[in-house]
Amino acid sequence: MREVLNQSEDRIKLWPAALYGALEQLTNAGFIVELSGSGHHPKGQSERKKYYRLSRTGRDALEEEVGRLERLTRTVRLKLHARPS
Amino acid sequence: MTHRAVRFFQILLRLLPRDFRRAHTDSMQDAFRELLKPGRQPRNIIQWTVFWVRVLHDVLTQAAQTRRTTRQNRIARRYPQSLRSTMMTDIAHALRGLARSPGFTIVAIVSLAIGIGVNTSVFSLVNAVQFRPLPFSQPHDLFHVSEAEQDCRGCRIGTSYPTYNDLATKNSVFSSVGAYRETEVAVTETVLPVTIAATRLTPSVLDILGVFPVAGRPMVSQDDQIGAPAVALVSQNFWVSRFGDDIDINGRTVSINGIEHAIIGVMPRSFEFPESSDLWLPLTASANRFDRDERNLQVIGRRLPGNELAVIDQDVASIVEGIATTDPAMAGKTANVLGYRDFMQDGISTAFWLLLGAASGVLLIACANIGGVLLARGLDRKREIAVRSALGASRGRLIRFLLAESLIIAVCGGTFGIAVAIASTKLAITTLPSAFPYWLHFAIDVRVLAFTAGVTLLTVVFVGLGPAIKGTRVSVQETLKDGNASTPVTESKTRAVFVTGQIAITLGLLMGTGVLVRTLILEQNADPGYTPDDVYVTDLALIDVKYAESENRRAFVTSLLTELEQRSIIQSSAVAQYTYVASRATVNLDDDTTPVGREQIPHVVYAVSPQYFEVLRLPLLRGRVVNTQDFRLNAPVAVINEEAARMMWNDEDPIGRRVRFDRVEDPRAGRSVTSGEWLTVVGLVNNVADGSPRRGPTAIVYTTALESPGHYVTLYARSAGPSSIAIDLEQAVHAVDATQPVDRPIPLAMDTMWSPTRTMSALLGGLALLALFMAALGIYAMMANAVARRTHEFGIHMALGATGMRIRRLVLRKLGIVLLIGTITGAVLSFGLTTVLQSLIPTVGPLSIPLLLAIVAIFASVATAATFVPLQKATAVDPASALRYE
Repeated sequence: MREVLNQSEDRIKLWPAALYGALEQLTNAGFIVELSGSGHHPKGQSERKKYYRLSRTGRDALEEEVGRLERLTRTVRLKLHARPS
Repeated sequence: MTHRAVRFFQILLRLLPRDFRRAHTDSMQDAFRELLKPGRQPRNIIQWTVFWVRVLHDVLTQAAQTRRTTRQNRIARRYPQSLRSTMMTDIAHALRGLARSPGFTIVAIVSLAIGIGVNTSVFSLVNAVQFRPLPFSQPHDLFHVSEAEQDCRGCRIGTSYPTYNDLATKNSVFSSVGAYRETEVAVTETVLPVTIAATRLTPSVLDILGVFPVAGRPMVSQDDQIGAPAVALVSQNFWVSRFGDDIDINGRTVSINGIEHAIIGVMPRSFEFPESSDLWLPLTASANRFDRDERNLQVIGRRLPGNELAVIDQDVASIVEGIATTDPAMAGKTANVLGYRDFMQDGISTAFWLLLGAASGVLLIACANIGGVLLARGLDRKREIAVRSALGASRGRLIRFLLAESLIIAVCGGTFGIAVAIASTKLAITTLPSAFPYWLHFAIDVRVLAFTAGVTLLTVVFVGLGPAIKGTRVSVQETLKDGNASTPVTESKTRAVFVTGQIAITLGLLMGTGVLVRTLILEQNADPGYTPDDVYVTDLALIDVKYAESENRRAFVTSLLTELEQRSIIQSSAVAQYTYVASRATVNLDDDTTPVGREQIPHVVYAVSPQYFEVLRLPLLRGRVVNTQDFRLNAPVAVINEEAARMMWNDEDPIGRRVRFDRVEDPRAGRSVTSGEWLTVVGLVNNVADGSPRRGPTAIVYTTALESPGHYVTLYARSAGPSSIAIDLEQAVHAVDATQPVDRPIPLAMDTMWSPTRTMSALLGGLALLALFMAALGIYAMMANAVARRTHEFGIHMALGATGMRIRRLVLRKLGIVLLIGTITGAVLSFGLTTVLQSLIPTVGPLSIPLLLAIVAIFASVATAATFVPLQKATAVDPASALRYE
């Protein structure tokens, strides 16, 4: 949460219910996996915090999405440049 | 501040579904705190307000979203994707539609339940006869062999002992061959002696069937040797009724025909081979061992692997034809082989298939009725269909939607149908326990259920598909613009076709029943030639060892008649013994020593005691009847009937003419003839009908006692009043011989009670009545609907001055055409049905034109009655309100 806020310079606010709703949907879809058990918790962090890991499917989906966005960007950029200024 | 905000957030979180909240509360609170970290906190009242609105929005949206997902997951788990969307909605819709018209729904389900139930139970009969395996090991390898005539291979005439022996030793196609003969024996151990169905068989038969005793030993080849100790196998029923539940055969005996038989084994429960036997005795080679004319055996064989029916048939035919060339007694004989099941079901299955045909006719009528109503409902829903199609429903989707309705009706009908079938089969078995051979089991098995499912699906197609296709062929624009005032011509045509079909089927069934019932009436009303009322009859089997000598049998008969004479309740009594003349005798006439030809030989010789003609009130036409004097002296006199007079002397006056029957004996192939006595004809009596008007009268010669009384005699007695004398007859028999078994005497008039004609006409008649009722319903529905739909039109007619008469003619013309086409089709159908019936039951007469007309008249009046109410409605139309009617 903090990370997202910092990275987006407070422009992207993740509202709590939506955040965890999204996390649950991603878990159900198999894109991320919740790490359970204390062994998976980074040292010095609270036990009640939840940690998720990107799954193999999730990574594939993400890569595909990035690819799609890149293609989209490229197309749009080409259109922008092709425009007679 | 932060603390209070977090508390408030906690309360807000309660809006979320419990599962989601439980899983994520802590994390969400952490994230919420993050939003309120110094530097990010809203700073003024406006910012705070915006903040809380967004938080509230966040929680509410998430709550709704989570709930939706959970519900979808639940549905997804329960139904596969493809079904979920269409089928469930269609079915739910159809259910609502059916619930809106409960009258139609109930009638439709009940009539389908009856239709499907009748079909299922009749099929369970067909299934039992045709498909269920026989209760023997590898039943497909069993074959039945019989001698047959060379010029008629299908004419099976039974097999003689010597021929069986030849078949058993010379064949190369069977691993084993056995022979058996059904018989009756007198068991005289219990208080009342009884006659019991028994079967004499060679020890190989049970091996061939693969059925073995549950206790004791099977028969072995020593048991059927001449002089072997007498042994018997008994059924489990027989054992339990005599010796109780514990089976311990050690030293048990049973007295059969006066001879003690050691019980060597008890057969498994429900084994009554071949049909209903309780005892199995060795088929000992008897005096007939060399007589090739005594064809009283059934021969069964188990084939060696790889032999097809044709090969087996060839093999046994060549064996028998080989004997025929050397033995004059076998001239013109061959052999014929059938699969054992085909032999056992012999003709039953054709009757059952015929019934199945009739039952499916009933179902078709029910389907046509329901289809007709669905079609009409479809028209009423034209607007609805048009709207659906305008909103983008595809044609296939709409048909599926309409089919759902018929599917629900059919499935309900099918389920209740199975219940109907189970109940009716149970009823048939409990009411007619002995009407079926033991190997038939009318269980509702997988095959029957599959049949029912198939029939149900067919029903959906018949009932639903036509209306669904018709109902969805709508022009959206016109329907929405026009309303549903006009009836398209095609619709009334479809319904007319439905009703025509119903009429044809019903008429066919009625006609078949009519032919059977007419045969029955003819049989019953035929003048039997005598007066059977108040006469009781029973058969006596004098088979105990003490009756081996003919003097003893004669003494028994004489004292029985004396005993009966003393009872005042019995007016008169007589015994008769029946002999087929056929091939067992040659006949000489008028002192001529050359035997006469076959066409001059009378069919039957009855040896009767003097009062016989009086007991039966058989009218004497000329001369005198045999009297006590003749009986005592065993005088060589005879009384003949008209038919015998016609055959033997060509209608010349027979009184004083002479006839001689010579017994044909057959010791070791060389035939010899024992000359009989010349009998002088002293009287001429009426012909006697034997229950089949088509076969013509039987030529009968009555004599005092051709030989001494045989082992099987029939006792007749006329009651002095209307009360039953059955018990008195039994008592009289036991007064003479306490150990003589006697069947409960029955009224002679009832003797011909059971006949295939009667059973078939009862079953077919039931189905035909059902069909008539449903077809009348169908006609009523069609007419009512046609009238209701044309109310508007009739209104115009009447406004323009048409009379009620004219309207009536309009409506009736339609019915007339439908009736005419249906009748013609039905008549064609019934000629076919009659032909099948004639091949099944030979006494059935042909379809006569008066009968056809009578049935058409009955049907037409039912149809007219069914149109009465709709017609009244049609003519009572008030033009003003009719024009408003839509």
